Amino acid sequence: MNDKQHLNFNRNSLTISTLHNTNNMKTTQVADNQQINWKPTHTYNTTQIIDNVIWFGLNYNYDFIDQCWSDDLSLANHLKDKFSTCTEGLHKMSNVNSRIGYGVFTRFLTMLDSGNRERLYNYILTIKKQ
Amino acid sequence: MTVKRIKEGIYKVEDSQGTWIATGGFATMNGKWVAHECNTYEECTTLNSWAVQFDTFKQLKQYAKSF
Repeated sequence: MNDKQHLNFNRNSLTISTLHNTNNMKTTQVADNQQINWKPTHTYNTTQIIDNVIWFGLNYNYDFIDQCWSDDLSLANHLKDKFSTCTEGLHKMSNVNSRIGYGVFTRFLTMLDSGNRERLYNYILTIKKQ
Repeated sequence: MTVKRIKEGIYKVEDSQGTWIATGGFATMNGKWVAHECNTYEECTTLNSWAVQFDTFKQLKQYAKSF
């Protein structure tokens, strides 16, 4: 990838790019040659974006997968299966049969590829805005 | 499963897996129903939350049975 190429994961909000940041977009350095440029399509600042995602994970709506992937039923079902394994895994780590969901959402996030993670982030920011 | 009403929107529930506090309706900001694994409403924190929220108390109770 040369310095003019960039990988645009999302037309609205997230660009992972090697381009120099020549405009006023907020930039976060993530690697020597990678930057995340947040194109603001909403009024959230970086802290609010991160907070929204984290707090959603601590208090998610039960049908968020159905809502987020409403256009792809088979993918939604696949992801619900994945989510179930996150819950099961958490119970296996505990010596009591707890239903506490702390960390379940984060485990789920780590199972998603970048495209689906971004889709989920956009969904979260959209519903938080409502 | 036994359900004891503490006050409007707050219930103490005992089932085969323990005791939990259900809150929802007027007791939560968005009206959704959530659960915490503790004995009193005052003990409810992020750390003992089930982390998932439902539209109704009935849905929450059904979820509780799914474990």
